Amino acid sequence: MNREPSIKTVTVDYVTRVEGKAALSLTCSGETITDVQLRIFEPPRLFESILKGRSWTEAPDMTARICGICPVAYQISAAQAMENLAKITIPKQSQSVRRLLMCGEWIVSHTIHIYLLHAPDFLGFANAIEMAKHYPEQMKRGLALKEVGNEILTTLGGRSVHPVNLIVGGVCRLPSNKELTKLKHRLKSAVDLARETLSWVSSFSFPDFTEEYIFVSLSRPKSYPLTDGNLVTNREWVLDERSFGSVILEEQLSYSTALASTIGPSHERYLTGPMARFALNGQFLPESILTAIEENSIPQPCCNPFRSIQVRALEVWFACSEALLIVEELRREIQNRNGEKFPELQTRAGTGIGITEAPRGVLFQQYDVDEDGIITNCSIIPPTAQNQKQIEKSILYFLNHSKCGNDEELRECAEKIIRSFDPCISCATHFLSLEVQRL
Amino acid sequence: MYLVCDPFSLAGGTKAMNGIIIGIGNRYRGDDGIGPLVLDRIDMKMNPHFDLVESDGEPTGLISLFRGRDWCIFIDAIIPNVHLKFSPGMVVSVDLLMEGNNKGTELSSTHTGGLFDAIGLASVLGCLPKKVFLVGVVGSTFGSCAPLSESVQLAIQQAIEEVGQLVRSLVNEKQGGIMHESGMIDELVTTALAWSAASPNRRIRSITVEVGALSPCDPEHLREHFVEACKGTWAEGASLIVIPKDDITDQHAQDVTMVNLTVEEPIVTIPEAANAACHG
Repeated sequence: MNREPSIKTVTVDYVTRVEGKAALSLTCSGETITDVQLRIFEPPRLFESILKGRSWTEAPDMTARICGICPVAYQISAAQAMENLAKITIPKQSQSVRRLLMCGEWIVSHTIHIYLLHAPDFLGFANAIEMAKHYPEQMKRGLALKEVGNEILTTLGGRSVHPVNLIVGGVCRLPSNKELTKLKHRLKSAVDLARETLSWVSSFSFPDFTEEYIFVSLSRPKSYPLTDGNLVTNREWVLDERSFGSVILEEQLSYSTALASTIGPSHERYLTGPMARFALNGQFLPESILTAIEENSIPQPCCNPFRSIQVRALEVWFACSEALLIVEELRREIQNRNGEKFPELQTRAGTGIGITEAPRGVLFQQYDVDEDGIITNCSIIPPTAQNQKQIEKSILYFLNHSKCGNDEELRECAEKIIRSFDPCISCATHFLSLEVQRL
Repeated sequence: MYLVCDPFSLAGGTKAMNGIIIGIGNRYRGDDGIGPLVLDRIDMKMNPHFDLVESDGEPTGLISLFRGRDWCIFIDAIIPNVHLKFSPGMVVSVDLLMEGNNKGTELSSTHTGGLFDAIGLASVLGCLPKKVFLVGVVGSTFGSCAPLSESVQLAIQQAIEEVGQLVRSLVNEKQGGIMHESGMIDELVTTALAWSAASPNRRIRSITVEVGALSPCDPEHLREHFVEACKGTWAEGASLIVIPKDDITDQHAQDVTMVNLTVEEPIVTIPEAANAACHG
């Protein structure tokens, strides 16, 4: 007897342990999942409209409010856009302070994701509190590591959330030698904590699952990208800062308040973030980290999203090591400084673009400013909006690959794959509840 | 014989009391700013045992603030709840470690995590203060850049008073507990006997103590316990000399410090045989 396959919809009404709020709808025909919709339902933030009519120097402080986890990336992207527009070269020490702040942000963001959001999945716990009952020392290590990141942000930025030190033209205040010495000691111990973190997450069991990705990240000559660089990909397109709007396009999805990005003439899905950075720049990591990558058998490129926890851990290690180098350099310079001159800020009409590597990936901002220094137009493209379509594709591929049985298993598997991409839905709203439609 | 001792620790080896008052909220989101606003109005001199800290409520940040603290008082906004009969402007004081009062959400996200996640995680990690209270003010307007609602404005003074009452009860409880005079006097006598042991068979004649300006100990009460504690020891019959101090800025302002110990001349031990003869 021939029977029509049953159609069923499974919903995850609210995806947990991700940044912000989203829901997921799955359409199943028999045992096969045929469609996935990642519904980002946080209300639109309308930041791009709020910025119109404001002064060009206000953009860093205003865009910082888009996210409490990665405000520094927003501030630096906005400041760089304005500095490019007004042809301002910022002093070297200010540049170092910005890079140090970004290291602090990477440490905080990645450590929260590794220890509080992602690790419970591998160890079979419902949440971080349950995990901490069995792994208290590991959790304490995570909190200690995050605290070092916070200390960088507080020392250099004035406060850990929405720092105030970063402005168009540079920074308001350089750190004192005493503050840098204290940070240096903290960072030395943080490097050890980060190394232990990589060993710990490398002991987890990872699902045997790989995909092919189009990676997009910034790239710098012989160094791992943080606050600047050229836009690159592992595919044929030659990218530059003007590629957003030409090669990389945004589209509105009817079921999501976030705009989703695609790349190339065929509107392909792509991935930005730690896995992309590692794939395109991994060779530039410090020797000690490269040795650990080999010892822990971390594939490069890493195309298993579950192994992204390892990539985040090595990026935390990188951020701690890089921060230590910057602190040493800043200490020498500040001891011998003659006093850096803050650049003159002259209003100029034009268009400016700023791109940074936020913890979750490439963060693009573009501003049009008139002759009075007023923002007339702006575009902000956060990493999660860019990754949205790739995450949907990965959910579809993984759920069909993993042959989940009932709806409960489907929900669990779907949440796990989503968490491995560490989406920041609040940023993207420009996010999870699950709905499965069985056909 | 005259001895000057280091200040001895209080009974149980306690250190200075250590509390924190945390105002949680966003000053720019209407009634959500009540935590920081109440914090602004608390007199720092109200009690030297408490630090005042403003927080956005992020759980791991709160756990960092718990470190080494005996007590924690949160001041936070609460959303109206019809079932709990929470109406705007109402001030509630809750013991968060009492069973049933700390039922929160799972640690679901760093954007939505909060007070209860911090308490849950800190409890598991063994770094939760011994006492955790919440002074909550029920708000009504939480919009961006919204002013404080009238009902919450009127509740500020009551919230301050609730915090003050909690501080006083916590300090009094500690003073009535660990710093209880009898335990402390037992330790004083034990310490004095240990010192006098250097001169065997000598009775302690007097012990002099300084009572700090912020110490909760009452001299008369101390003497009563002293007489009892000395019975049957080489200190029986000794007098306790109490010197009250008035400098609240002194580093031992909260302590009772033994400063002098006098011991009698050697007691002539009567040979056992002679003793027997006397009684014979």
